[in-house]
Amino acid sequence: MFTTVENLIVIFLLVCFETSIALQLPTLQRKLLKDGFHRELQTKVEIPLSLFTKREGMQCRCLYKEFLPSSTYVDTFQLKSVSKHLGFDYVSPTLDIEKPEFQENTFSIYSILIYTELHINSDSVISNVTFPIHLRYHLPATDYRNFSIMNPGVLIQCKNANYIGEILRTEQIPCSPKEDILCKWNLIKYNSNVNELLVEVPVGNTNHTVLVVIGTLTVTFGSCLWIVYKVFNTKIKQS
Amino acid sequence: MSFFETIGVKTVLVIGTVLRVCLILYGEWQDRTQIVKYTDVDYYVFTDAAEFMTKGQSPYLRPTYRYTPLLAWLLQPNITLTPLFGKIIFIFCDIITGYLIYLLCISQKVQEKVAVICSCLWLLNPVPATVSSRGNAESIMAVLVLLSLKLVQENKVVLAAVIYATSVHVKIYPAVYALQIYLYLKPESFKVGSGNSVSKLTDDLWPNKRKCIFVCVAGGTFLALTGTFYYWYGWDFLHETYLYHLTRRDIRHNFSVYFYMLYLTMVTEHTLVIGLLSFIPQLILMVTFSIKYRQETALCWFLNTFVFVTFNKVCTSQYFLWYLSILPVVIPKLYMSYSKATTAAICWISSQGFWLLFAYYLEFEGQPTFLYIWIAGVLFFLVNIWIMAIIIESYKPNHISHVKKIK
Repeated sequence: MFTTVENLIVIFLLVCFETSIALQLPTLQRKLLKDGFHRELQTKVEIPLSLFTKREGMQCRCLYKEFLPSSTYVDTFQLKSVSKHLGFDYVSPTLDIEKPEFQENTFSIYSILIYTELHINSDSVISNVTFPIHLRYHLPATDYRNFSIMNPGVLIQCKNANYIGEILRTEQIPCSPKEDILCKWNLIKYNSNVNELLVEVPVGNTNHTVLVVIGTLTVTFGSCLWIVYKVFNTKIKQS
Repeated sequence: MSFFETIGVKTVLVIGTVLRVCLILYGEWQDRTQIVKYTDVDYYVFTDAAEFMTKGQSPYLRPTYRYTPLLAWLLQPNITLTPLFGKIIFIFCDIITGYLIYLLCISQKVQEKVAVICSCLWLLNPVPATVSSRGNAESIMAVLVLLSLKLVQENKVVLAAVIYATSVHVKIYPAVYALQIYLYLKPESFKVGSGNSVSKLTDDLWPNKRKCIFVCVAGGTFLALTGTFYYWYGWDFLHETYLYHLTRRDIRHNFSVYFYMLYLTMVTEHTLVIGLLSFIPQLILMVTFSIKYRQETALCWFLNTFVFVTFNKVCTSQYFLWYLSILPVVIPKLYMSYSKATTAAICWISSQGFWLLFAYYLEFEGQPTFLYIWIAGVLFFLVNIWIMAIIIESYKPNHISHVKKIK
């Protein structure tokens, strides 16, 4: 039989243990760098080393499963040219990079995979990836429209180490973009600074419509008539 | 001016070539060491398409390849020989363009010195030199258009028809010269007729042997090219080479005066009417120029290209090269003061700069500057209209002007 005091001590210890586990969750930091239509999505994952039963020669890789809205696009040919420089590998659909958001009817979300290394520091393993992403034109409204970018699924895979943190599930995904061989990847639970990134995209202002339509047609038709007038009132000079 | 009196066209050609080769080499260095590439994005598209072609596949497997298969076919050595091959072809065409400008000036009885200066406007101009060394294919069009112009002026009907039809096949815009060419071609024993302007126009509309040959050969060449490539590449070819460009309605910000209006009305019920309305001024002016200046081939082609680009629903800076390549041929016949020409050039460049400033704030700073971009676009449009007017006013056939420099 436990006494009340003993019970309280057990509960206290359990709470402390839980808190320490929570403190030990991997962390994810997300930022959208730059302004305007051409942005960079930065993702930083930090996993405490204590979440691994480490052995000699530990090597880990990280895979981000991104679900991006059709308000954005990635340019695969651009990714191809910058990925080596920026230290990642990727699997991406080829998207129409010219369509505005409101004409991209084929999907509302597309998925890309980003493969990267996890670097081992003194007390954690870290991955830091930045890739270019572009905003599509959106329907006119009043100056801005908003959309959000979800946090990615973070999957890891280690050699010579076991992950003892919380795993949501295990998935079979190609080991690298260039091969068909499937590897077991662990989808891990993490804490994040944000649940989703809120993005503002500049759009045309519908209050301008009347002014712009009348202005444009007046200027173009007026100019056209003026030039026709000039043509018929300028005799071709003969020398 | 004394500089131009002492050097000949050969020297200018050599300097132009050296300049472009240096730019290619610089580009190689930048591409290898910097994140921002010197080479144009389109050049990678051409190269990827050429790679498909070397494997015996369709160039249209490369998304955003929207050009004739001839281009990918021509650039196959990019894969088999050196990735620089295409750029070498493009700067070669650029140099040929400069030489054609010189020849066209000479054939219009322009002084040797003036012809050299006009070719310098292209050969020593940093804009076309940069464009072609970055791997943009516009110089091929410049050669095809100027060569057609030369052949039409010399009444070499069959060859003119073949080259002209090829140019329309490569990029559709030279189609806007068709009416002028038809009206221009005279019967072999042609005497200047008397009568009023309406009866003269009726005479020029009446078919003759030259006109028939031109129409048949040009039509045949165009259909043969289209038919062959349709047979090989099917719908992809038709869509990417012709239909995409004809139906293109890109509402993302560009130099076109219509851009903001088209963007704002894109999903309203008026979109079709507004699209058609914006086509009317372009059509009126091109028909007017084709009739009024039908004897002045170079001027008419310049003005029609200028109108086509200025009134187009989509307009980017590479389109400017389409008329800038014809301008040096027209300049010797412009009777214009230096100060007016300089003002025109300064206004043309600074109104673009004004537009670019607001476009930068939108594209890279995320500020909703659409209204300002529109105002800058209208300003640039009006500058172009004013330049069009002063060119019309100051044009004199067979007159050698004092002013050579407009751009």
